[in-house]
Amino acid sequence: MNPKKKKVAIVSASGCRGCEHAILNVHHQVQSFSRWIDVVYWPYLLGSDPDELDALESIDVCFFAGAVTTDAERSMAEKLRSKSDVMVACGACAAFGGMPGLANQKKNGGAASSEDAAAPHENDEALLPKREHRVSSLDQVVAVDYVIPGCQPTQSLLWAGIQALTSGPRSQSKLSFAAARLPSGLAQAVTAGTTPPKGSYFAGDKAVCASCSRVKEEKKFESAVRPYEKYEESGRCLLEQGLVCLGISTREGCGGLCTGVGQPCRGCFGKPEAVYDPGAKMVSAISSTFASEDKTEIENMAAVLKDLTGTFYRYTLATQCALMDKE
Amino acid sequence: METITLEPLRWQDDPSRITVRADDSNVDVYYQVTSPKSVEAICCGRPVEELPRILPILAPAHHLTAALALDRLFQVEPPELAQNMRTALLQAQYYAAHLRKIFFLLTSRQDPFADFHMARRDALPPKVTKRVLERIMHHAALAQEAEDILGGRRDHPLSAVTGGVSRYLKDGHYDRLAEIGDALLTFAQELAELMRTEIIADGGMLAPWADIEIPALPGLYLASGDQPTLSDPKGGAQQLNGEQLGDTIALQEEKWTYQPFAYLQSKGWQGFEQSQGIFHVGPLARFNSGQEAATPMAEEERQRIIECLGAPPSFKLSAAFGAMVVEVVQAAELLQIHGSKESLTGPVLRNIPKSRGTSTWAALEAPQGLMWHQYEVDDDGIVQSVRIIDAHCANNGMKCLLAKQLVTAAMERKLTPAAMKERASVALLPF
Repeated sequence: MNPKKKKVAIVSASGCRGCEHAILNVHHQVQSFSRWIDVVYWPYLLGSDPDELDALESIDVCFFAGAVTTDAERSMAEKLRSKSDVMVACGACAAFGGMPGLANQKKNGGAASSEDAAAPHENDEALLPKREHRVSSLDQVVAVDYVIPGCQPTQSLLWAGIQALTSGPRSQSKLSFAAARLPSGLAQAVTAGTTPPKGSYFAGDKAVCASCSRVKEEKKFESAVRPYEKYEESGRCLLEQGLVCLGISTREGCGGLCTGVGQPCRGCFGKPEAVYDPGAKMVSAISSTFASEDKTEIENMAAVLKDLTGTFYRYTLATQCALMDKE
Repeated sequence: METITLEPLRWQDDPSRITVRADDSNVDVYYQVTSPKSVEAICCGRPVEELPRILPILAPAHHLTAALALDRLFQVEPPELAQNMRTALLQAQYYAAHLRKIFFLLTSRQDPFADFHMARRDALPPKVTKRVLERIMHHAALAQEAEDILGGRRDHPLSAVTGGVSRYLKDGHYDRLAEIGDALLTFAQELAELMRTEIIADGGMLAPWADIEIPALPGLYLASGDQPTLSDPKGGAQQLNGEQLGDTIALQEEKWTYQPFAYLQSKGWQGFEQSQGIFHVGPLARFNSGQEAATPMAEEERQRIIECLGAPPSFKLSAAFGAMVVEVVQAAELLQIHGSKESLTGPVLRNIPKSRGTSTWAALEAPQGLMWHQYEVDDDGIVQSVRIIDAHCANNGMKCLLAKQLVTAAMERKLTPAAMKERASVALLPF
């Protein structure tokens, strides 16, 4: 082990492996990592076992992906936190609970019964980690220093995060391509090769609408539609077309990836700093963009909008819904 | 009672481990998935048109399966352009997924992050150099770029929508897809040669694992692209009704794992060891079906693999990786066909539906194996129930059997837990 290199852990709790694959795919060569970091713990790729984690004295940077759904994942997060100088929530599940967090709408976090959720599966066979009553983001379990949001995080922001947090002043890269999408303070730190301020998001600080390529005509929509009901080639703002798009309540950084493909934003970067609750922001945005003042028309429009909780908080129900019990 | 835990198993999509409990007379082996996925809780209550954007948390190809289910629910036929774009996306997924597993295999006996010159050079065959490993990852990245172009994003694609796709490609995309297609096909042939001669052949890299016998179970696959079929390893095949696959296949929950076991309802469930109803899906099941490959170069490669390994069915690890090699070549050829400018241009990219049913299903042959979806929706198109059969549950019983067999043999040979874990990780990698 080269003492000059930073010791890095990469772990995943409940999720889809998408974030780990995104790290694996950074610059398409996993071996290039070895130039400046030692990956000392990565269960998925290296098969690192829990004893190896116990044996590690310290970790410089831990990238933690996935939501916390079991007691084993909780204790792993706590152990990693206690050993890591820097803890990074990587991806929407670790940052906000992600789509697994939608299970919090159901009693006991989606477990078949309260007994399944609460009791360890202890019998005369083998013990299974105990499922928790609710799905949690990483920062609901331990303190988090940095966030790389997205489902999965974009390559440029992930690369910026990894380099900024692991290479430090020795970095040979100036990262201008990624810095262009970061808030100025963070971009300056990244390009200067200094460690960014704790609490930073490796993403923008405005809303997705600020970087969306679609044309906003400031026109109000007259009726809400569901995505399968309409297709318009115009390149107009999707919300102005009557489609529920969360761009206005979502932190930028992706460059309007989904809207560029003709699909409404679903908020995988979480809310921008200036927004208190993404759902409330969406209610406000839709109310001010809908043209009618007629009660019946408003009721008809509201009837088209389905599953507001699952839509407005697709990735953030566990953490950013002000009305949701977070305990 | 002695307990050994082999945790974690490398490269498994689901966090998983093997727990061994042994005493003087008995050895119990459990292949355990240790993290729950509450798919039903996540999907129910959502507008059904959102499922293609939600279900890729299980695997990227669930996006396309969900889109197929929506086409059926809304009784709408996607235009040819859209069908080609979806097919091309699926092929890019095949290429990237299989290359990733091949990369994992080739770096299985060393730390992929170690300085290559310091790493265990004896862990790799002479022709598998650092350059080869880098080229595998480079071409996996090219396949992912094709996924980005065709699907909007790679692991969580979003371009397939009810009745078609969500947008036309831009001019630059067509040229780039052509470049990628050529590069992927050239490399697929190069890789196939390397895999056959250095990895799969007698005395190749897989030799230390040559004694591993994958359980000879029936294989479930889509014959001719859309007919669910169950092949019997002793010969013969039975066609199944796609719409009623949910009646044919049941899911068994066990308290010691978060992943249920798919099994054939007609055979019943008598515990995963005794059950006659366990089957498997994936590249090996497709290879063992004996079907010809869909493209000429892939068929030539299939014949070469058969020359090397013998006629299917084969239940060796080398056959499982050989099947992937054939599919890598096939994916590259199909990507060239369906990803060409002619295939991806047309006057219409999606058809707007005029009606909606209340239940739907779809089946797709995905890189990891056959996946099947069934949804029930209410009058507002809100999801009431979701049933999904995919490689995770379909191969779960086989993984348990394989784990038991590996551990029993390893204990007889008095292997250390670390050696047991390495063997198990490699043996389970193709599934």
